[in-house]
Amino acid sequence: MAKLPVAVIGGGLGGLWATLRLAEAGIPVNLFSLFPVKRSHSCCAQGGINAVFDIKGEHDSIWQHIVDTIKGGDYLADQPPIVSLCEEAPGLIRTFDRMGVTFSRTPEGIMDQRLFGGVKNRRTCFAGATTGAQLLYAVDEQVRRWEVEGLVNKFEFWDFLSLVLDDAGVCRGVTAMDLKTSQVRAFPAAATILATGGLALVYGRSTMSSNSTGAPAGRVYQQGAKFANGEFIQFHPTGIPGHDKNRLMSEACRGEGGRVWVPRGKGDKRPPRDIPEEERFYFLEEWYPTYGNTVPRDVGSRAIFKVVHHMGLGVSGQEMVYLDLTHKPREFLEARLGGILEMYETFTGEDPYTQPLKIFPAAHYSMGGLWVGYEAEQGADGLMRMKHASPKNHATSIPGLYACGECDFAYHGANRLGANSLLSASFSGRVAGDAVTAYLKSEKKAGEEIESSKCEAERARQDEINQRMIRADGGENAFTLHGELGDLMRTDVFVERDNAALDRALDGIRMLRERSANICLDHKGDWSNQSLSWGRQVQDMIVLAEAITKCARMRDECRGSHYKEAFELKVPEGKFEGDPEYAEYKAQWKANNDQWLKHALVSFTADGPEVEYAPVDTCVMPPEKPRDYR
Amino acid sequence: MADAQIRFRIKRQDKPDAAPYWDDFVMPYAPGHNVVSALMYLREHPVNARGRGVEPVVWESNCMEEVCGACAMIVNGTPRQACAALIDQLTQPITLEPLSKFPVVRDLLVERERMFAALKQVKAWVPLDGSQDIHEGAPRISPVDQSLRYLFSRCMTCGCCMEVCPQFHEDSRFIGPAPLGQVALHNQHPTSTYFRSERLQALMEPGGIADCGNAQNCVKVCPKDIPLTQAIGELGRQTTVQWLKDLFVR
Amino acid sequence: MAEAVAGPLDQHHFAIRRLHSLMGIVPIGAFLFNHLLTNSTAFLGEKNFDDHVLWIHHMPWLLAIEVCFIFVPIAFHAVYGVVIALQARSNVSRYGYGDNWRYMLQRVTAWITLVFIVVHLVHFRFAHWFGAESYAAAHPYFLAFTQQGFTMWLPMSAWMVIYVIGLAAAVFHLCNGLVTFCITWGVVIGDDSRKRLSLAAAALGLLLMAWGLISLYALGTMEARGPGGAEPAHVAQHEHLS
Repeated sequence: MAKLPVAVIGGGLGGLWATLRLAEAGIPVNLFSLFPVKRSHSCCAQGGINAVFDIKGEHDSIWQHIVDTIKGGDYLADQPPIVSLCEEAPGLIRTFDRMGVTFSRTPEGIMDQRLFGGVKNRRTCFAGATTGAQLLYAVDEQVRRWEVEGLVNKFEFWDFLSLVLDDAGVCRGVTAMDLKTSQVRAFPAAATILATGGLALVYGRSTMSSNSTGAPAGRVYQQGAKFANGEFIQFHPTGIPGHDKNRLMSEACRGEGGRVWVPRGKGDKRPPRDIPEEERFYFLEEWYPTYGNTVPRDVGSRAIFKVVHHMGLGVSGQEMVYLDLTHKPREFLEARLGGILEMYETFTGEDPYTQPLKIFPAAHYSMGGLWVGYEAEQGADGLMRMKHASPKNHATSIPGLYACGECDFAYHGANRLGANSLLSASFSGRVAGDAVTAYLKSEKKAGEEIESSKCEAERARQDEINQRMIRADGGENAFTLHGELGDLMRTDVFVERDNAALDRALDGIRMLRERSANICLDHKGDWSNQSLSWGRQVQDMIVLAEAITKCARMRDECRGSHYKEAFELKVPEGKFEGDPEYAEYKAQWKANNDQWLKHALVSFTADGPEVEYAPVDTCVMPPEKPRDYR
Repeated sequence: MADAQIRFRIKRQDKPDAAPYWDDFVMPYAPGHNVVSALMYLREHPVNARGRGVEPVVWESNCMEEVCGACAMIVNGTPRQACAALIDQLTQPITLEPLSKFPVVRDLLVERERMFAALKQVKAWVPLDGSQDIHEGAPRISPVDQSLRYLFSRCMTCGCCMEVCPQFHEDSRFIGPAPLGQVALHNQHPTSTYFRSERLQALMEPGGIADCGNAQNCVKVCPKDIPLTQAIGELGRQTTVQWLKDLFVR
Repeated sequence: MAEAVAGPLDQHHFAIRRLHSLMGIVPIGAFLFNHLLTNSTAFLGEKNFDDHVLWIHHMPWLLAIEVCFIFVPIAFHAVYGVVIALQARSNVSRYGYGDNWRYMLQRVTAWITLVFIVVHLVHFRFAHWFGAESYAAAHPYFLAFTQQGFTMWLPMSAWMVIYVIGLAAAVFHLCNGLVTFCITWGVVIGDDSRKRLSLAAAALGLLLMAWGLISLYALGTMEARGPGGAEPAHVAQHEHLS
């Protein structure tokens, strides 16, 4: 008898790695994706992927990579998985290398490494400026090979809708909609892996691809999977605001001497070059005389937000400020920033050599996501790490459902280190594939097909939702609703948060949720109805936005990307270890950790999200000292 | 102001077997629009130029940064990524058509499965023993070879090169330029080249490299500037050698 | 195409395509080169031309050579070329790149050349099937015979137009074909080498055109003496030998 396949949802780096591992173990896979998997959002990652090879004589070590990742995440990630992530990174990269990834080379022909944000050592492997695409293509090729072998069956242009759960609450299959015919089908599955990526589209325009809605995570969350640490969203200070998305602009522009400013006069309509120097407000330089324009990302983001939203000084009254390079000689800019500025010109049509860039912070990466577990194991060296091929690794709170990649909450805690996302996506996909292989061995029932009535019931339920939405004429436009959701999230749940605004946001989201029940589609047919799939995704995005906002409302502290001014612990200026003021600060910091160093776990209820807290496993490196970047 | 509007002429098709038709759209001008962001506006306000409510235009897009290959379509007569086609740089009315060499699913959305199938045909992958760590990477690759391979490895399977190729169409078996670039990429890799003969033999089948007509359009529209004609020349040489080997050595 | 034909054609697809490409250069291209070279001697005088043609006529196994190295290759190249040309969906109106124009012209000139070759063969090689005098009968006054041919059935001006068009088509097809041959076989790969090759092919094309045009000029302007004049020296010599 043919084995029951595993369902993998999403064909980015995580989903493809999981698929590859399963196929290599001889397990058939149904791979679902909204589009041909080669177009997944992983291809957008430009910078690189971290792994310690220490090829530059810097005495870099895996331990240092572990420390950087833990501290970068402000201790909010379980540590044994981080140990495994960093330890296995070099092996993972070697495998990518064998797959034919065009990693940039040293003159001696080995993989080159470069420096990336937040760390001291050259630890980042890269393939030109398209590392994510290169990694994605390599795994895509390997999976295609298994497709030819008949073990992988791709369902491209299919939208995952829901899980099929048995009476014991075990995931035994999925339902999905063919985006061409709008037909809903149920697929019995031995296990299911969700690898559906980020959710930053709940912020309307973000740096994400236009399909990174987070809707699949929202769907399984509504079916009982726990969502964790939703409040932790990484914002990138220098996004290029666009009508469609906010494209990422490299931080290097600030580093190379770019000056951030807005006109002092509200609603000043003059072209930037006509505004005299004394009427320009170089707010970063004024507010932070020491660092000026090179303040850290989060400080910069919040300052820009303040100038635009609190002071109303956004350029042309819009969400943007100037990042000016025009005072630098053209030759200098071409040599240092040529490629980046060319990209800016391609997508804005403006000449960055003569016109200041227009930027605004943009939602970029979600550290939070579906809660996933792991099995820890102590090594001979005493370190706790993730046990290899344990069925508990990357298992969600729903038995039989696994999650990997950006849609899970692991590894990054409260903030993510640059070039760690390609690593965690690939690594977690590999782990999830191995975990499911183990799960199928240990759970005999998993291989049996669930009774067809259960599948049919779920299929009919989903089809009914479709039909209702197609028939409805409530007057709400799904695209407009999404725009409003984004506006709300970018105003009240953004780089700086306060409880009054978050309460307001929760009210607003609840209203959007009510309105989203009245979505009326402009497209009433079955054939290739993109409005239908979008309408459903918007509903699920709103649910997820509520969970994120609720988490943010509940967490009264500053940690990583989550910032509430009222609860900020300020490092006493000019005081260091040994000073009594510093000792007091340290005590406060420890007390705060005792209260807040914990995962927020959100459960869906009909009345809204319910948050409970769970401890963080800090057995590898307990938080003894505050981060101090002075 | 003449520029206060953005005007579109969009070739639409309701079903794969339905007749195509043109629909005109007008939307308010705003600086900074590209074709996809404008289509996003139109799907939120699906009213055509005659003021009639219509079903929103269907198209495919994802990354919006010209790396995923999804939004390739014919913009003012040229196949390109719609997300990188800035309204301010286009003459109006802007005509949008689906790629003509692939079956239309609906409006601007086409089915490019044939391109992915071709990658299977030519075994465009490294023959790995498994994805486990074998405690070794790939053999050393010189920076020169790496940069040459990098040119080809950026192919996003968007189909622009296929669209302009006069030899590639629904009635021809020609595999098209994009998969040829991938063969060139893999035949250059120190271990992927183990499949070299098999790939070349696949390319010597009907519809393979010999069906290239040397029109050299492919290289001119590639959004990633992939040197496709160089790949074709290189593969011409490799297949010639393979053919002679098969004739005289085997 | 019928399945019965498609089978072996598919099986040997690559070999047939390569042979088709090769035939265009050797022997057909080489023959055209030689043919135009021979013709161009008309410009150097009647005797010169008649000498060269006579030399050809005295080649051993002439008929076999003609059949194996001219008729069969041309027939194969033409018939299979039609199959190839029918697969093209030229799109120069949309994509007017130079290379694309050459791609289109390669196919257009193929059709013109094909028609022209048929006309040319009927005109001279097989004219006797259509009631005209046999080429062999002209022996050894070839130039005079050829000149007569140019006033047969049509006025000379019409023939000249036909021949200039046919000549240009054949020369373009050969020279552009030489470039595509080199790409197809992998003789040139990079852009720069392709550009150099294109220049060389263009130079060859000019040479061949020049040869063709001066021979036509000679035919149109020269007063051939033919049988009425003194017997060419080479004829006498030949007769002595035999």
